[in-house]
Amino acid sequence: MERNQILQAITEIFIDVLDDNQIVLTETTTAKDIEDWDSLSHIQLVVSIEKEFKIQFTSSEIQKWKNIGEIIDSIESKSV
Amino acid sequence: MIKENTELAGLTFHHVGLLVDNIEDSINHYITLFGEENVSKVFRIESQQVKVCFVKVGVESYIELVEPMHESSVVYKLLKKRVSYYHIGYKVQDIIASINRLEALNYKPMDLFYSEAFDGKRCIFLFTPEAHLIELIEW
Repeated sequence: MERNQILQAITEIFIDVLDDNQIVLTETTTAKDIEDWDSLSHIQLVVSIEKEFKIQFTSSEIQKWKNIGEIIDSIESKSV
Repeated sequence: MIKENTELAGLTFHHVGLLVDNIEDSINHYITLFGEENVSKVFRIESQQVKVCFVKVGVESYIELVEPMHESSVVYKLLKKRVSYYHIGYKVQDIIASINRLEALNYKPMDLFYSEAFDGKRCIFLFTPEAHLIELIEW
């Protein structure tokens, strides 16, 4: 899957989990840019991403991400 | 059939967490159901920015009423979405060992905190692989 396809899939997950269809993500988007992206919803987003891409992240991985681009990096590194 | 009080994988059921708009109003309601003697005092858990109270509904079984103290509380947004019952609390003997075991099962831990509601004991919230929220309380 191309990076822009992953970005699109992640955007749909954010819209669904955060219940906000105005969300537009780029690779530089951070939690500060999305009002409802807090510590609780972060884990809900991670679980939804794991299900969508059929992968698993470690706890240390999900704490290191600084922006959407780094989430995409992790997904790419785990996808066959 | 699960025997009462049986510990499963080191987890012993303690409570179900229920978000409320106004904890005093909820307490008044639950007193009418279970009696004043089964309702605890209200605790302020500063690290979570919530007020909580426990209602004993059975043997070692409680409802935890949870009211966000501020909009900054992470559960405030859940309450605004009308989420009510939102987590199950379990007692564990060794919280670090339990976290390690659950992480191996792809549970996702949040930050450890010390709870004023449990005499300063260590607690943690984790998401199950199905995104259900649980709390561990070191007993």
